[in-house]
Amino acid sequence: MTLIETFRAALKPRADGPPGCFGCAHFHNDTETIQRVLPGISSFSSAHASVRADDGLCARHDTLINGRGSCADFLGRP
Amino acid sequence: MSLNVETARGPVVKTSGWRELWSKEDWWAIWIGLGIVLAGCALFWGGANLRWLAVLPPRWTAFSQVTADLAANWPRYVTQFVFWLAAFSTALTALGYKAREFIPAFAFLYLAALVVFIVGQWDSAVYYNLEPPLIALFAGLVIANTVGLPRWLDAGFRVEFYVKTGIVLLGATVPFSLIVLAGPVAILQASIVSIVTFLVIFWVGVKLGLDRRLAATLGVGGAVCGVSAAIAVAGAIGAKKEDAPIAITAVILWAIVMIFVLPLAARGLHLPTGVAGAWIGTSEFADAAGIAAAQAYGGYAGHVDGIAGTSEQAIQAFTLMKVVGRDVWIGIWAFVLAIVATTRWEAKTAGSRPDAGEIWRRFPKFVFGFLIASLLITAVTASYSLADYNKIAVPGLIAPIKDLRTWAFIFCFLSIGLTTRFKDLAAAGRAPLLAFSSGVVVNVALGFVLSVYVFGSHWATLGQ
Repeated sequence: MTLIETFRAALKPRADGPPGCFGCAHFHNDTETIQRVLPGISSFSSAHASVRADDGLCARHDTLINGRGSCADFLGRP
Repeated sequence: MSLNVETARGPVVKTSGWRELWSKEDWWAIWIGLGIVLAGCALFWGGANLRWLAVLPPRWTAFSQVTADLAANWPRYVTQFVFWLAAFSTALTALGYKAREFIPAFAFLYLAALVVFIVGQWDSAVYYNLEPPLIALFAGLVIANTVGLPRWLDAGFRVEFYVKTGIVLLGATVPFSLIVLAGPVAILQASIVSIVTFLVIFWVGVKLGLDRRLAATLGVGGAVCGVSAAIAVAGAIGAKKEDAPIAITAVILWAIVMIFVLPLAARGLHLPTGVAGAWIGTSEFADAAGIAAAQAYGGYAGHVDGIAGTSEQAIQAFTLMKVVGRDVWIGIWAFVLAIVATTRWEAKTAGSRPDAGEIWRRFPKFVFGFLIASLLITAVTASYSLADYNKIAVPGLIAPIKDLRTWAFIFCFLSIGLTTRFKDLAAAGRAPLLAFSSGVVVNVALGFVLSVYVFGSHWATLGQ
């Protein structure tokens, strides 16, 4: 996808897609987890700040993500 | 500290949409800050004011003056403590903290803030560089990194919450016309420095072999709003979970250095308070750190020969530069970098495609509180002549809000030190620190040139 196509797509409303990270067992975004894996976050920011939105950790891919994506490794929460 | 999250099994929390109104600190800072401003306006209309609540220690030369003040005003201090406790504990309980942990922590914080305030009000404090922000930060750092405090007390040391509440209250002391007139210059100056700083850190980082996502996370940490920017962009671009802690370490180390260095350097150069505030706003990395530095420098006004301007000019210039010029653009940075990451950098297995909604979701909402507070006070005082404004509105409406703001900031400064435990920080590594430090050098130099030479006359006469 080119830069322009990506930009246009980003402005379009979202259609219902596959289950996202919020329903995935690999995804963790509770405050306690965020503060534990981001040491120092409370010194000059906060896990409760608006800028963090709903970001969380993908334990499957070891990444910090916004939780609005999906991937082939989706694992439903029990 | 282990970064393993496999064992974490907390509930997934969605705070977007209307839920954000009671599940994010930004909004609670607005509710508390605007609540105080509205109460101040209501009392002012009724011929009363918030002065009784907004008690603060007097300037003193002999300590007996302090003891006399405490003996006479202790009910006011107790009431103020109860007021802050009620406001903050309501918010923090809603955010998931336990009141039984917050209450003793805040009691400790309030007493420590009172001591810091008393020391700062000493007539010779400026002579010995005992500015309240610097004392609070230094004392907090010493306690946290030597004897230490129980971790559960961190429930009361909410740096960001206190600084955001203080910034909303600060809005009440900044005329809206000043924001309109000075805001564009702040945005222009901040944008120049932010873009250059980001590009320097990113370029040096990539040249040193860093992953592009790590280089970008470091870049926004140095260029936009420190730790907040680093975590926002790391989430938007799908950075590795080790990247944000590295950026956090770099930001914290440099932010603390700059809290002490920038005011002392500006003092050595005898910069006017507005100019120094603009420089600090351009070159500090976090709101709390910058407010500490700007307030410390503002404390020199009228006490150190050769420093022109008022203490308010330092705070106002800093806030315009940092909050209006830099913080509000974090959503755009996150959105643009997410597009670049998706289209230009190596693909990630997981993650979402860029979404313009990120701009709103990541917007630092407390800025609305700052603007609304400014609009409210400007509207209430619009009919006053300058003489009446200074004679009636300042003592009856604005000064008590300003004094409550100062308390909120001292809570923040103490909390910075008390929550910064150097041994807890992630090891940043040589290359990330070198990349970040190169941006710091460029940022400080460019910020100085723009604040002093290019826009110097604008900042020196801010609000006059």
